[in-house]
Amino acid sequence: MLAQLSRTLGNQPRDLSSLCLAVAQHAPSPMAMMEGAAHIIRYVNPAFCSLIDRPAEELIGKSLCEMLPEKDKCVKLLDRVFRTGMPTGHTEQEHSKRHPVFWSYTMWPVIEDERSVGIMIQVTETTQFREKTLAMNEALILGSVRQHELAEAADSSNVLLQMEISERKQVEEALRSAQTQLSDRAGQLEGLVAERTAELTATNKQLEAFVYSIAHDLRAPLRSMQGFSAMLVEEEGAALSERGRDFANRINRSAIFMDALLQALLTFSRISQQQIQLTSVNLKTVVQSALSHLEKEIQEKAGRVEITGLWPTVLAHEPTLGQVLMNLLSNALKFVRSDTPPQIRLRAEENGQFVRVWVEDNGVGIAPEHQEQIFRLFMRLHGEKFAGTGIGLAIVQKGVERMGGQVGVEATPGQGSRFWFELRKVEGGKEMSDNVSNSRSGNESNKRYSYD
Amino acid sequence: MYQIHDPEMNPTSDIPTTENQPLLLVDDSENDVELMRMAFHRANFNSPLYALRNGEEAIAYLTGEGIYSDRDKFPHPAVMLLDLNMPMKNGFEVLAWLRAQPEYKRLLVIVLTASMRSDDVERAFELKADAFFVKPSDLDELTAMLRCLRDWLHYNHFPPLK
Repeated sequence: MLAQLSRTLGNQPRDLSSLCLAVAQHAPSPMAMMEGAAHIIRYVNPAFCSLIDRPAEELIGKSLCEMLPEKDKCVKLLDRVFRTGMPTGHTEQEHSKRHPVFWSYTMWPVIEDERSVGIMIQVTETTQFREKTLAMNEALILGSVRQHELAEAADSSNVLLQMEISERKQVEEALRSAQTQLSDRAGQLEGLVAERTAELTATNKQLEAFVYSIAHDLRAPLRSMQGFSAMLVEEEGAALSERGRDFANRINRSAIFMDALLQALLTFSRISQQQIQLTSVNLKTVVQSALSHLEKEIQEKAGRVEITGLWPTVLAHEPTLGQVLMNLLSNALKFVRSDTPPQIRLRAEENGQFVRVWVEDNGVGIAPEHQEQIFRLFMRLHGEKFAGTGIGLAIVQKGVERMGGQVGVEATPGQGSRFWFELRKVEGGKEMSDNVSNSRSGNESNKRYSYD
Repeated sequence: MYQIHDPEMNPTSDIPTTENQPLLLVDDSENDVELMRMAFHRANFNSPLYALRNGEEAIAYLTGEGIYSDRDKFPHPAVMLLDLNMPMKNGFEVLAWLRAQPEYKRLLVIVLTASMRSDDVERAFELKADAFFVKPSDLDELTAMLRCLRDWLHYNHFPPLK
């Protein structure tokens, strides 16, 4: 640089002022020097000229104030610097169409003998400022638009989110209130159920008492009818005509029948109503007990009973099971042709978790269309021919159902019937086959229990 | 229940059996009482039978109240056949009263009723009845029942009553 400087200046002796001049001449920053209070331009460097876009000759000798667009501001500044001797910096924006620029400059006083004689201006930042600023502004605006957009988007998504949240909150609320309602309702229903159960239990008890006392009170007059009509024949029979004795016998038989009806109804009612607990029951024992109750009838009819198969332990209520077997066996003994001795086969087989007990007979059989009806209360197929209350099978069905089982029949008219019922098997129970002793001697040939 | 016939053994003749001792029948049903009399007769049951219509009368008889103070006419019973459903003190009330009396603690009480309810059976034995018979509807069966009772009384020995 010194070399260049020396070339510019030629080979003239260098003193400080010419060096400073050289510095100013080559400075990239526009510089100008003014003299006096009028701020007459005495020196401008090339950078200043290209900035203003005017040659030096046009500028030198003129007041800087004339050159500047916003005369007042600049003048004020210049005056202040000149007066106070204090440097200042400034940024100016020029709205000139030709040179839209931002000026950023510094001015300081030239002091001689402790007073200002002139001012030095150095422009530190100009060109592209506006562009840069504009660009920056644009960027900022864009940014702020973007930001605004983003903010809007955020806002709207916020709003959406808020809506979603509030919706979800609503849903949650609805769910919670539904749950509360549900549990309230469940509580109410439970209360209702408890009430109804209590009512039902009370009603059941009442019904039980009612049915019982009806049957009980109805049987008392029947006792009288039966007893006195029998005594009528027995003690006064001779004084009666045959017709009179016949009347008395009919009264007697009717009373007996009605009493049987009432007893069967009582049994049915008891089996339907009573609380029963199911326990492990030895099937075979109950079968044998039922048979021993029917002993007399079996003998009278020259009946034969055969017991085969394995007899597992079942889940049952012993008295009810006894009643069921009694009724089935009693039927098997009864519904035979008058010239045929009844032959009954009892067998048990396992059917998964259940035990199926078969009571098979050689009786008159049942037509398919009647096989369902016969289990109904008061249903009698053979009104005149075979005596009966029509309640026996209803008791069987109700009893088996209450023990958690099922009942059914397979039958062909004229070829006997095979009644069955199923009860739950008890695992680990003893299986009784033919080891059970028969308490009755098998001497009578017209009655036999045979075992496989 | 069979008497061992041993000549060396002192026959228990000084301890009476309850055979032919008076029976008290407490039942509010006139018909049932009549049927019982007929059945008694058919069963050749010869013990004297005294019928009372309700619980209060039964208690009056036992305490010797009023007309019943004549013990020749109305002797102390050895056995009581007691119905349950009666007005003026039912069978349970009579039982309860009875077992509280020292002299009647050992009176043989057979509940004889039409009821077959297990609750009633339970309660009767709670109150210390000695037996629970259900009135059969059939006269023949009633006769058989009384015959059985007659035989039982023949074999049973009671300590002498005061």
